[in-house]
Amino acid sequence: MRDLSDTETAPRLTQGGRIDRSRPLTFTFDGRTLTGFAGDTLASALLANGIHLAGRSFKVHRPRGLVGHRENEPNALMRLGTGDRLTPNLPATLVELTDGLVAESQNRWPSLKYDLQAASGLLKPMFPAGFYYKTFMWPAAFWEKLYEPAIRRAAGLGRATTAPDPDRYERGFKHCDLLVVGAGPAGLTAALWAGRAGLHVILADQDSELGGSLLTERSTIDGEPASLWVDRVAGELARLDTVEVMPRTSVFGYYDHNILGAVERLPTAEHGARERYWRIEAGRVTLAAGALERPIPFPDNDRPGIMLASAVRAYLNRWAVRTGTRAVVFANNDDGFSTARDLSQAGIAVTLVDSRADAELPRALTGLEVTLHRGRTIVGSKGRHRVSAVTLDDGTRLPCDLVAVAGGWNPVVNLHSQTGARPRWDSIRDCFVPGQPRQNESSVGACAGRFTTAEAIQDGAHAAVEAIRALGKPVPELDLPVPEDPPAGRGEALWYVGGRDSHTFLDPQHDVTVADVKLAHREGYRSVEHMKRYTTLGMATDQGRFGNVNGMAVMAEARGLSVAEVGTTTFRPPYTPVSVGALAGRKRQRTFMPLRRSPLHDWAADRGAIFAEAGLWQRSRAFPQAGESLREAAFRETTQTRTHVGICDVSTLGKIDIQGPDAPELLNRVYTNGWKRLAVGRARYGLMLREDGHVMDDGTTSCLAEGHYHMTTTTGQAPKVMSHLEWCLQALWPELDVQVQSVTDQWAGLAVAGPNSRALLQRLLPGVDLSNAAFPFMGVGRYALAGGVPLRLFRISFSGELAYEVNVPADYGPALADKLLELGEDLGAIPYGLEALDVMRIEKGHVTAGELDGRTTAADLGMAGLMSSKKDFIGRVLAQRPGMADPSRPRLVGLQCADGDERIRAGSHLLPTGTQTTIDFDEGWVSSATWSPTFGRHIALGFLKNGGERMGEVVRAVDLVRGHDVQVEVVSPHFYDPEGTRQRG
Amino acid sequence: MADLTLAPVSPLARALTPGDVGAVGPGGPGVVFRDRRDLSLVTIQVRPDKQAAARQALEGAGFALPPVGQAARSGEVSVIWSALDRWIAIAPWAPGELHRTLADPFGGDPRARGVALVDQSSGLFALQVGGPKLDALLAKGTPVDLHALETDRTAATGIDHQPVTLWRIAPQTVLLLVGRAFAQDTLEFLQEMALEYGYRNG
Repeated sequence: MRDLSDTETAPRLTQGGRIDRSRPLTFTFDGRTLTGFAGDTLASALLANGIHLAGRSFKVHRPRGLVGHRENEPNALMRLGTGDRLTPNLPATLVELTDGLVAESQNRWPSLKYDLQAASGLLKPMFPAGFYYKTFMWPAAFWEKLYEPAIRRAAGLGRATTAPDPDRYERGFKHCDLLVVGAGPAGLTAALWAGRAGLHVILADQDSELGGSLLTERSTIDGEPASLWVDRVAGELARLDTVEVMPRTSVFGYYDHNILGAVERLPTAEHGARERYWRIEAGRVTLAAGALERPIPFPDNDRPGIMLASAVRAYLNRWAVRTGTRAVVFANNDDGFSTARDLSQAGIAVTLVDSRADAELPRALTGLEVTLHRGRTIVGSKGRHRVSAVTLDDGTRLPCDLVAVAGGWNPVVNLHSQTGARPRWDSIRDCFVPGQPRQNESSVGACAGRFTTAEAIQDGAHAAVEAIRALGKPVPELDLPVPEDPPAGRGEALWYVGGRDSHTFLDPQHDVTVADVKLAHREGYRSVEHMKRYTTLGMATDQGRFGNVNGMAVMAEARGLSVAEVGTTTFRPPYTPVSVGALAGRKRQRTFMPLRRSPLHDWAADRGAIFAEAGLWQRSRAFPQAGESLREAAFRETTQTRTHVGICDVSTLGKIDIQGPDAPELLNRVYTNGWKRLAVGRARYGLMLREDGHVMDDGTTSCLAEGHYHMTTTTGQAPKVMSHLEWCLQALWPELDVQVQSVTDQWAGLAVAGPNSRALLQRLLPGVDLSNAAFPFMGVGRYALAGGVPLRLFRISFSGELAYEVNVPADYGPALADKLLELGEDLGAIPYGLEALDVMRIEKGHVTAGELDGRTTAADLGMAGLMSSKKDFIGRVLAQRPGMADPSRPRLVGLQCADGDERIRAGSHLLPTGTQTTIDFDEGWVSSATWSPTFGRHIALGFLKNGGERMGEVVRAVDLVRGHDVQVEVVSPHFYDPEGTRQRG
Repeated sequence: MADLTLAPVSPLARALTPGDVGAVGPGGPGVVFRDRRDLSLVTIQVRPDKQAAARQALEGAGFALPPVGQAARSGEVSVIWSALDRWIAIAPWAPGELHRTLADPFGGDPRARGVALVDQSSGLFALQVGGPKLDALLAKGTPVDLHALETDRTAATGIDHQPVTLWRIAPQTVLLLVGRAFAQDTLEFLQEMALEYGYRNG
């Protein structure tokens, strides 16, 4: 053998592969600046730079090298990015190399090469499978103080950033007749023929390029390199209008009703998102995700440089990377020959160790320098950060820097399994293949255990024909290409090489060995599902892709059963890691929930309003003037409204249009009080109960015309009341001739309150008699403003003042508010917000969300009189239950300081004086509290046990959270104008 | 005498300021947004047992109540299906005029015939969305199968968080109806999603 030149031994070949040597890319790995080419993955670029050592194992921090080239890479998990753009745990094999990429290895300190935690490897015998179920038990007190903190520190692989993610993510929906997962020979064929027939086809592949295995193997189709056929098909697919090709898209989850989840990685774009989560609804699904090669675990099989043979070929053929200079190929099937051929032709010295006693070098290897050791296995390896030699079972020592292991193939049955279908064991091919489908899907090609390119193309075409026929479309004439690849490889099962089981790794990511599986068997964890959880075999990012089938075979052997009999574990989404950002999409921070804007939102913002969240709504709390605090503004607005006039945006109140001759009957049934005699032009207050007798909501309903009503609800309960009415009409009383519709958004609402409100509205409606006699309390009128703008006027009051509510179509809301302020300038008109409104309603003793909290009854609220005894209504029967009708229930009361003026806090508990502060003496709570500018002291509303009988009594308002304990006097809840002369005046 | 005229204000008066935004290419924007406050919208709600009669009455006046998921045009008035037993009449008229036109076939008293007409010209916001990237944009927000949403088909669906009604008025144009209070949120969502195509506020 002659000596090789530097060029001949450099990892990167000077020609070949699908990389673009005219576009060099610079990246860093653990701080080292390196170069690669466009078309590289991070993994291929690392190998091209001679780097095999790419990570550390999870448990005992053993050095780990790259072993795969696809999603089956268990070791090379990287943290990508810098600053707040950090993504941990990404397999380097799935990362497309980009210029400026920053990658770091994980789970090591201080460096990948010298990891101090590797010392834990010395303790490996103490960490067998399930050790954490057996240890850390005693002494019990150590769990919280020592064990758990220490375990938490040691647990996990990569670390995510805690900074907010600066990138954008999107979500979307796609529909298709046929979804093809995987763009290898089978997937390309299926998509092409279905697309030619005019089907809506989506072809998704996680790779950046179409072609699948054809990109990594030296196969030919129709007499020319397969990559040319791939390019031609890709070109035609791009021209078909009904076909959507989605590279860089990982279909990770298969859900009911043929709905699949996929994440599309997007190239960096100024206005684009980083990733997009797609929910794909497919008429039919063709799974063409290929197969993953499995290892032959042997003692010391976890050294860097020991790789899967398919990966060695892929790096060589697709990325032009020699992963070693002196290779040992260890195989139990004919794939060993292909690997030996490709490596040898690339100038690499190859020794083939074939476990089959009758293995013969095929003609394709004639003339190549390949030495064959038939009927042999590897029983050990040497090397620290890179394999340097292996030992065979006959004692032969083979120096090497690369071991390519070909243990057979596992079809990717994960998505099929996610549908609930059970993969079945194929004892001829020695692998799990898809079982009976449970959804409208089929697996094709290697994904179905049919490993040759010819079979893949036939399967793909068949899947297309099935999809075309299912839609009743004509099937195009099939003219399938002819691949020239060797017949399906012959193999002889070899699940592991016995010897030192504790050093024979099934899952190098989690340090799970053959010994661990055998221990699980001895300790009774014999079901594959139990074994998986006990040993952690195939957990985390690996998801069983690397050594699970081998592990099951070990368990089968231990149990004296076949692999078919022990079965496989159930696969669950996601198949490949999915970033949380992609799942969340835009639903984060401000856009986590929608924002509902009142028609007067901008109008209020222009006037310096401070906003408060009220459900989805933004409501103006107050309009502070220069130098004013929120509290000062609220009190000023209260006083000005009580003495002059104020206008308040009440557009957010729910509004429901009710039409039909049976509308009074509907109202009678949903409200507790009577509605049959409400005249046209009048409004009435109503209380609505839930079926269980508790108060659901309150509001007014106005009769606009015969059979036409306008209901208002509280802001928060509007959707609930609307759906309640719909339920009543659709399910309970479909015979009622009534129709309801939300008009909340149609009408802008302004409360006009204060002694000058009538004078102000008279200026807006000069031709209307608004005198008390002509337009009394609870009166309703409909008018038209200039230009025919409709206006609805309701004389109702929440503040306790002479007050009105004015409705105009929402588009005219801001103009109406401006007009009212303009017309009322000399009347002292001001805008007021939610805070002043709250102060005034507490002063008046009106209830709102604090009191209508879903636990109170009409009697609790002092409204027992509104419970009609002359008719039935929703909630009537259950409101009569003993617990609901108990007179000693907490009842609505007013509260004020018994001595001096201390702040009373909402949420305080009410206790009798002279008792211990314990739950045993709890007699109620404070529901709303404020300082009253009208009375110059703190006042509150609350619920006190048997409150109606305790006027004048002094009780304690205790707030243990904020450290308050105030003596309060029980008074009427109606502090302000209890006779109602102002609102009726 | 004070001037008592009120000027209407669109909920998107500030969010839909004219101009091009995002990756607008030489071929122009991928998406164009247009405020259609010139349209009046009146909902037509009909009791199931009165629909045959209502349909007959409206057909006598030249209007139709189209089947589920469809729209029917009659001169300037279009009636689109929007939900179970519910349609929306749309016309470039004043709301009162459209309401009266629809009430006339029922003798001016539709309530007596099981029909409720409700003006929602201010309650629903009509946003016209068009352009070559229309479907790509909509796919980022709505679960509807856009292949099936052909011209003059309608869908009651959702976009982002909000319930919307979509009516494809031309191959590359939809009229999107959304509750007024959510109009700005919906537009902001669509604008963000349209950045990569470039959009124009028309």
